[in-house]
Amino acid sequence: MMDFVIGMIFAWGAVLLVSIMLQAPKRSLMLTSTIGAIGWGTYLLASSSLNEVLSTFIASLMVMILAHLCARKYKYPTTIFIVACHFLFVPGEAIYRAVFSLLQDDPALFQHYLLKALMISGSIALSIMLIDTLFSLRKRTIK
Amino acid sequence: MNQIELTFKTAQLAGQILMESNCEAYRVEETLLHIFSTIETDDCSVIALGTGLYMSVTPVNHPVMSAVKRITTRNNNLMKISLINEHSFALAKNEITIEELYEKLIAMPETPYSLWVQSSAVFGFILFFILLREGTFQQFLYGLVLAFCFSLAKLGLAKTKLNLLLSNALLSFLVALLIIPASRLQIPEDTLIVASIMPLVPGTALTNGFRDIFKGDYMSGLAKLMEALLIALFIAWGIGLGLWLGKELQ
Repeated sequence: MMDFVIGMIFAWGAVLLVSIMLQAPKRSLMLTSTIGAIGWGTYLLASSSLNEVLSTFIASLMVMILAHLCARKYKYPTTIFIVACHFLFVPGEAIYRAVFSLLQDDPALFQHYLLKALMISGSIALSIMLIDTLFSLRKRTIK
Repeated sequence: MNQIELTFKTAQLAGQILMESNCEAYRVEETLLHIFSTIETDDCSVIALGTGLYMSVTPVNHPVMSAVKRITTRNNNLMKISLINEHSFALAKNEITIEELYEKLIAMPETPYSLWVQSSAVFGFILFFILLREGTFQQFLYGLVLAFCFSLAKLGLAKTKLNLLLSNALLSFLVALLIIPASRLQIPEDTLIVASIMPLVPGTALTNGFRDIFKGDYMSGLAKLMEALLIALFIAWGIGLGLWLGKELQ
């Protein structure tokens, strides 16, 4: 339990700094990092029983729902939440390792990491598309 | 300059700023269509392809207007995306006029943070990432030095305006050189390497690429996937060269 809370606090700080690196507007910083921390908490909860791809998918769903709700309420484009909050999930490490193992002449490892990177980024993109579509449906039916 | 020409010019500028801030293709297209909805048009098409912006508008009783804009630099800038989004909504609601929007775009601030704040953010992020990866205390201490050198080098390179790929390769080469003493000190170096190149790796580009493809923007999606692979290649080259040099020196 303690690990879980500490992980969320670290994620909060990391997402805050990522938002500064991506030059997010100052007013949005607290909101973004809170969404990021909740997303990371979801990831930690999910990864205790699921694999990496599925838990990334679930955490990303959580982030997307919160991002859309906050974007509606505070009149921000969803992009500023999505990019920063997904920074901890996106498979930057896997794609680097894939190319690195290619350079070290290890095709088996290259395939392993490339597949991992594609699966993870695919699952994030899928959840983004899913929630985007759901929210745009809701907007259309209200009108 | 009449209303139609000004609207066209404004839309072109807005599109350019959005694409240079690494905005998603569909959002660029939607924003420009929002801006064009303030004039009466027979036909209106905008295509954002990552490396270029193409637009063609036929206003009522007016010859067709078209423009192609080459986009050469792309840096993430969420503030500009957010500001343009805000202004274009205000325009659609008739809260501001097109002249005001044009002036706001011309006077758009570059960034809300100074270079020093941005470098400190890079420094802090690397340390937080080591903690997130459950690094040991020794790794954290080593990470302090590493993150300090890395963020300073990144600050220096940002001022030279070097090509993104080359500066990524240089920075990861530096990381690999700095990591050499870690193996002598018996500190596991894997987490440290991954944490310090984390601000460079193209995970976001890869995900955005898939996102564009799922939306049906195959060209810009594939371009982004290619970009992600190329950035990763240069980072891996930098690290590989540094580690090889380290082995030769020992």
